Amino acid sequence: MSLRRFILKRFLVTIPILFGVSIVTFALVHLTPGDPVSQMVALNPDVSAAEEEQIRRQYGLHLPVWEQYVNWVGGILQGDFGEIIGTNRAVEDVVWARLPETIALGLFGWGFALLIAIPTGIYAAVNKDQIGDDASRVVALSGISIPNFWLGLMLILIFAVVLGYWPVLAPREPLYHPDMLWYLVLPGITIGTASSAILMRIMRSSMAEELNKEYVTAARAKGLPERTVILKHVLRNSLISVATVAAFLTASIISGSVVVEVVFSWPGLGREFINAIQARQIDLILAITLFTGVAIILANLLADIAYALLDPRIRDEY
Amino acid sequence: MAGIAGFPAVTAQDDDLDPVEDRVEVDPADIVEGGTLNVGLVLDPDTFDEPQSVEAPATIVHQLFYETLLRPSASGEPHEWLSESFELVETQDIDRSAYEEYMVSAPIEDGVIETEEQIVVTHPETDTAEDDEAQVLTVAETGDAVADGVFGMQYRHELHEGVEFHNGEELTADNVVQSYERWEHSANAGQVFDQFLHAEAEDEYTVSIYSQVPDAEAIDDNLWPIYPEEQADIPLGEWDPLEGNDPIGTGPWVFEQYEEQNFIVVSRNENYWLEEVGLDAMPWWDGPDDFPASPVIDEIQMEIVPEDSTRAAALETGEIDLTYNLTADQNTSFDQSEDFRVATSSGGSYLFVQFPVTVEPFDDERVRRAVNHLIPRTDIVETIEQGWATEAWAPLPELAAEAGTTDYEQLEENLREYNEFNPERAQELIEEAGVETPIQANFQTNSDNDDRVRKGEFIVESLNASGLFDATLETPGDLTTFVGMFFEPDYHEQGNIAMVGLSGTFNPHSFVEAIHHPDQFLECCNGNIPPGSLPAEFVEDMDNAQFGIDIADDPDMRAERYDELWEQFLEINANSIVDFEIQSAVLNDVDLHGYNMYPFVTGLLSYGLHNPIDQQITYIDRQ
Repeated sequence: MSLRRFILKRFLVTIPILFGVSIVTFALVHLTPGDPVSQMVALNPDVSAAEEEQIRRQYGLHLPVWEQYVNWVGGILQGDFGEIIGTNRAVEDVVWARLPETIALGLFGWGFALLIAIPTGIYAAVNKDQIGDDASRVVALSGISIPNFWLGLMLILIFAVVLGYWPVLAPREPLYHPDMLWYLVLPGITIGTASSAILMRIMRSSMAEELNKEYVTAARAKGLPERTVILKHVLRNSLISVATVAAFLTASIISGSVVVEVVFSWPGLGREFINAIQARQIDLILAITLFTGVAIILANLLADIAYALLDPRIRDEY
Repeated sequence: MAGIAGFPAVTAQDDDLDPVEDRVEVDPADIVEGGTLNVGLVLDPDTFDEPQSVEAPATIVHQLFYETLLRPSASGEPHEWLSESFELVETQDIDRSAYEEYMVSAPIEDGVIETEEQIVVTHPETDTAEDDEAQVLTVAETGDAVADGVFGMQYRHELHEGVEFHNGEELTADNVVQSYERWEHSANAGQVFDQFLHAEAEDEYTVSIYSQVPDAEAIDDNLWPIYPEEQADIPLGEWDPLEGNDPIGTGPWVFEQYEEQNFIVVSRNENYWLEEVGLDAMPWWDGPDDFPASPVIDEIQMEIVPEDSTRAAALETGEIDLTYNLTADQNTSFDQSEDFRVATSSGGSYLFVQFPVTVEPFDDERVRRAVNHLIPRTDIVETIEQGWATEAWAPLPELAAEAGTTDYEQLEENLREYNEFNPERAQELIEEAGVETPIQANFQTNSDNDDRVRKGEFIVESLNASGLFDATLETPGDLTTFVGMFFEPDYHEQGNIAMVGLSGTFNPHSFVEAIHHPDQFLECCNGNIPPGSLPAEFVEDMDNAQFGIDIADDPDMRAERYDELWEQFLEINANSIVDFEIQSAVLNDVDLHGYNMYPFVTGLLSYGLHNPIDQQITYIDRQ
């Protein structure tokens, strides 16, 4: 199968997945008791049941769920993701405004994960079953086990409160400002730690496997320096699986942003998502879920493409 | 019946009851002007368009810009503010059926009255569930009713001349009328049109405000922020910096900058009207000559920080000077530090236990009262709240005592026996009721409030330890989920004991109506007490305590009337309050001086930074 056909086929598969995600999310939001109007009147003793119903009608929330879904999908196909109830703001405006913040945080976390994982994984593989390898295993297990929420708070406590090196609060500068790199460090480490630990183990096992292969023995027999064997020959092959897993880890980085953004007051989509759930802003919940779904699907698509490029046999599976 | 009345001009110093605890006072000679105050807010304002705002914390921000005709002291007494003077012109003994002549017909479809107009009064005999047509008074007809002398009360306000909005527009009586009109069809229209009938400009600086029926709280219930003409016609929901429409009011703070989910910046209003008018012109002023007529801080930077631990950390690093809504642990920790202070005030928020009064065995008030005797209020306050709350022995907090009782201490003493932890009395009551034990008791509350869940667990453990109950606690979801379930029409038949966190006001009726009144069934905040489950005479007594003509004309009678009611509540109704919150703010005690907390979080900044009624002022003197 040609690469072009492979990509097209793989892309077409994502469309029903997105529909599935939207249906499940829509159903879940509607199955949960309470909607934006009940949130509006929940603690307001002066709004009568009739007034509440009137507001619900105003926003089409009185219609059967299937009709609301059809209206919503119809709107999306025309580029209208709905509005924030109680304001006249378009949902897509909110998403576009917050998306760059989340992307910046995710990229930093992703970069941090790779930066830590690759050298540590190499070191652990080269020193397999030695103390350094054991230490890296403990660190990796800890990284996977520690909840983002706790890690974030600990980083704030140590590096902001006790040592005073970092600020606690989110920055005022725009994303392109150089100072933002400094602000990204703590939340970026928090969001990237778990992925870093997973990647480190993948890197370690992948490289250990490569090091046992005959071409490595042959390279060593030729008298190539160990450094050249590892960095020039083994590393390249080992990175194939790391690159694939790294793309898949985008999902965990995106989902982790919800907690990290709340802890660090980071004004991204994750925080907006929490607010939307609390206020039952259905259109906003759906839009963020859909955007997140698209991001994860795209990341997986890229991973598959990368893999297909590196290993043409995979194309035949489609 | 007519009468002239004026509210007494009292200051904190004169009040018998000042809810602010350990009030810090400032010598005006020590005040340092200038500086930037950094504040940690819990929530981003949902909108700057107040009529559309559904989150109480957003009011912290709104109150920086917008002002009202009268302004309360910390004890809730209204004082002249944008009004130079006001008077109660007339009170009439009418009910809402008096508007029948002016009402129009509107069809009812699926229980909803279908009309494009704002409904002000619905005929009391209209049944939206049964009728096809409703008789309603809309805003279009209220003027006719008032012109014919049909109204409950009339208050006349004389405005200060020369008061300017931030855009330079002068405040006139028309602004007051237009501001009421702005609330039509807003998300919060119900709050205004619950009691408000009509506003009419009599001349450029005189405006009359009419209430629907005689109402002891009319003066408070019918006061809303005043907006400039420039913004009165902006469509609802678009009055927002994000839509290019910055908030404009007469307040002491001017909007500067906003980044959604991140920060808000405001600066001191250099042309604040009170500076021009002068404190000496205010009828209630009796403070020192050099007391500032406006806030002395130059700028407020508000950071939106939802996570409690992050706000606490930012306070410790000095990134913010002031915050609120921290946990009991955090409050205690800051309270023990020399560098920080916890400013406190008696609050109006409370945890309410509402029984399914139509479901066996809770339809027997003795069983409900037995549960109340097993709620370990003191342990809850000491252990979970760590002293940042007070036990609820009476059905209203000290905050609402002024109109709610003639002697709060005596009331507590008299009623304490009903709610005191007393397993022996609980056993007696259950035996009297003749109910088989252990009684199944399922408590429900929202899952997203850890302290509330812990209180629920405490209560359940206590009930089970008595051997009289087999109690469980369910947390079916976050607040919105739980509220959604609570207002389902059949919730009251399911037999769950609901625990809800609510907030009352200075008005004792707010501790009566919202949670007990059959009119509020399936509305906030009555999901368990359907119409007919309380004696009609008792309900009538409840209503008369606020809406009786004698009460409306003579507020002093109110406290006596309520004194007669509270014991009936505990005997007949027995739904109970667990504890009353102590409202707190944590602040940098080294740099901030003079700050005192308002009883409600809405006054975090508008009261704390400047309210000369209580000679309240905060200044910054950075070391």
